[in-house]
Amino acid sequence: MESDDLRQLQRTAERGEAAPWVDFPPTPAWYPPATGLWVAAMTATLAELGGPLGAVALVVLLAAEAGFLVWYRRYRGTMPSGAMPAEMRRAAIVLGASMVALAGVLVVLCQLLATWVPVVVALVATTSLIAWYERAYAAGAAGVRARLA
Amino acid sequence: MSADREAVAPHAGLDALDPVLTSPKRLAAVAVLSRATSADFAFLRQHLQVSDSDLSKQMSALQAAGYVEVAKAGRGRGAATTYTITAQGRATYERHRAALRAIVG
Repeated sequence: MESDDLRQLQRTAERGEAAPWVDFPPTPAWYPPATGLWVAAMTATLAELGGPLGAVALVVLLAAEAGFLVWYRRYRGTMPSGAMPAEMRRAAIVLGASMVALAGVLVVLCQLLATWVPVVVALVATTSLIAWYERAYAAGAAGVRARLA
Repeated sequence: MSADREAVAPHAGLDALDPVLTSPKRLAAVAVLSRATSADFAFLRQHLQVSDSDLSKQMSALQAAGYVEVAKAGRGRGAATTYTITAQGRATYERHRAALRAIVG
């Protein structure tokens, strides 16, 4: 085996490792608002509903999330795992930190204001964050594809 | 192979290369599976740019080597074939990658 063959094999492996992260169908347009609705519904459930009704609502929301993940895995054809390529990591960190900060803001708003306020904030902020993340993820994926081309 | 290409000197790393994974198609398939919880037939076919029969052949070889597991769900048009890397496949792949890195740099 010659060195060019080995370099080609190494590049093949690098492209393969990146593929689950960067080869994906277009994200449906409904995904950001649907995620916003889900977070808003979760906020309303945790803030307003207690007892059996609250438990049922929580189970329904978690089941919806699980159903979405099953559908999304089939839609994408795979589900990436392990370390995310460097080009996409920053966006994921920003999204994670923003969602944690949003959760904190929502807790405070729930204590200070009528429930509809944090629910609307959850809807708008989550939809905006997810829409931004999808664009940043796609740009990062394009960067990875260019690096490995 | 062309004469102007540089031949790799005998190297201990070459012995660490797994013969099953020296095929680019099988290496690519295992590389995908090493970074995914699983991948379905269509995803692998798209990534490898091969025909259905060729992919089936490559995946059968990987399955026979104990590197991947296959799960089939449903029948007809909605049927789904999904592949997952095994612990043995992952360990072999990581050794193979390390050897490639050591040789190529």
